[in-house]
Amino acid sequence: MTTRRLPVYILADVSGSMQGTPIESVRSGIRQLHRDLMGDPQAIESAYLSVITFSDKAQQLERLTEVSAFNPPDFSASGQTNLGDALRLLLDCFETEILKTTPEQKGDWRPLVFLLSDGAPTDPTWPQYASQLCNKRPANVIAVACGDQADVDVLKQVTESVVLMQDMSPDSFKAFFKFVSASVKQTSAKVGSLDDGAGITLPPPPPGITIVP
Amino acid sequence: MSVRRLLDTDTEAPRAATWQVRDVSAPWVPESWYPHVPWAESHAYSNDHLQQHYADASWHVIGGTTRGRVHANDGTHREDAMAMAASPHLVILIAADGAGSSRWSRVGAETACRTVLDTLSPALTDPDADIGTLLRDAVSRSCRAIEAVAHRTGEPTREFRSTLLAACWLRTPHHERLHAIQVGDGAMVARRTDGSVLRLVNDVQTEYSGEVSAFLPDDNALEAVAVQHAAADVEAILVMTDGVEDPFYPLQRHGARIVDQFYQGVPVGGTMLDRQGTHGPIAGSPQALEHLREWLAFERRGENDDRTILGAFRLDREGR
Repeated sequence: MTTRRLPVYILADVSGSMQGTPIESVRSGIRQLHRDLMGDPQAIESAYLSVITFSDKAQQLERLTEVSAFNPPDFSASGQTNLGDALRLLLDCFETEILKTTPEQKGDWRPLVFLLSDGAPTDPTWPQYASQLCNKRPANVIAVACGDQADVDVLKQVTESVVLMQDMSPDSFKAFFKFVSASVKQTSAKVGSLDDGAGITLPPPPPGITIVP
Repeated sequence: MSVRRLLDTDTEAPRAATWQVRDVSAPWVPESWYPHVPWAESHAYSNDHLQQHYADASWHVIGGTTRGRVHANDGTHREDAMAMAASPHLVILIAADGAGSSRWSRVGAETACRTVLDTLSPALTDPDADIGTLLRDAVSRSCRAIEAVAHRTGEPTREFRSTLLAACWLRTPHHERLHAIQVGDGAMVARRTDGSVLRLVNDVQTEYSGEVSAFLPDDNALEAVAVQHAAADVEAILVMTDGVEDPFYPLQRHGARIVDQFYQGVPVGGTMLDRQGTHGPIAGSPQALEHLREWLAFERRGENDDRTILGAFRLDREGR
């Protein structure tokens, strides 16, 4: 009898434009997320975290790992914004890491994905993977447009759930990762199936972060 | 001072939180609702509720609903509900599980259980009642009852969403039959005398955990079909919300052993999960309620939802 998991993927843009305070804020935010989830006994028992970064190419720095064994990774910023490779890798992770319900076992909860990007993709492949994510809905994806250079229209082609982080200050990132931990804690509540359009219920975004209609 | 020190308030490895048990502080419903939902004023909410009946000397009917660890940790109400009744020729078992994402789902679940029991109760003294029709009526009446509560209180109907499971054992001079109807997740099973387990209503699988295909009072709840099965060779019936089904999934494999645990108890080393306390029999036992409470306290990592299970156990199994 396997444990049912809530898989949570952080997909972080680590391209050159994220150098300096933004990338440090993302690293710090992931550490904060880990601390917050360690403060919730249900999250300890069911949430599993993974970190995927993307610049010239995508890398899964942390495979899906239970909260109590998760080690927040270190990473730096440089290079381009290969969003297509990130989405391809994410879809591969779903195939290899996620358990679906069968007559023999209960599956995982539908994965939660938080995609952070501060610019526009520099690769030509992203539309095909974005359309797979958007049409097949293998996960609940929340995209965060970091700052005013982020391409919201691109993110809208990956998911309907896009929020805008108006500035890339440490406080904004901190508030965003608080929102992430609140979303993870809330997601294990019973929801309607996707067929009825109910989707998941997320907590309200914090100040400085607005929902893109 | 480095950027990292400015950003991090705590760089030490975080300590893991442990489960807490907190009392509920908010009322079950606001007092302003009492004129609109009269029964709510006298509704005696408790975190755990267990009850039992004996339907003459043949059947022991017992059920329990307990607040899960998540709600206990948060200091919030149980959202499962149950109801049961029995007469010499009819046993009624009802369970409902309020949607976690719906604010007043505990009211939806309780409304559903009360409405279904009210609809079926006349059959307790009428062996000729058409149970299948009554079950379908019970579902539509439950939807209307929940909608009425929503309308009177000014809350969206979505905030009262709940699953529903109802099973009836019926004996007539000519046959014994099981009738059942289900909206949403959870499970109802019967164990036959040959040890096989029959699922009363076909399971509607979703790909991922926690995604339910139907809720009261949504329109698709009215698509629920009342089913019936021959029951002369049935020795036990279980109705359970997903808070019990999921830890023991799949019931086709584990359901028979659950029935064994109700008849025989859980011996030392007899756990099916991470932990089950040892206790004596439940079915037919003078300590049935105490042992059922212990059974419902099983532990399995990640399985911390409210738990509801009702069972009807034939006491004259020999010779069947």
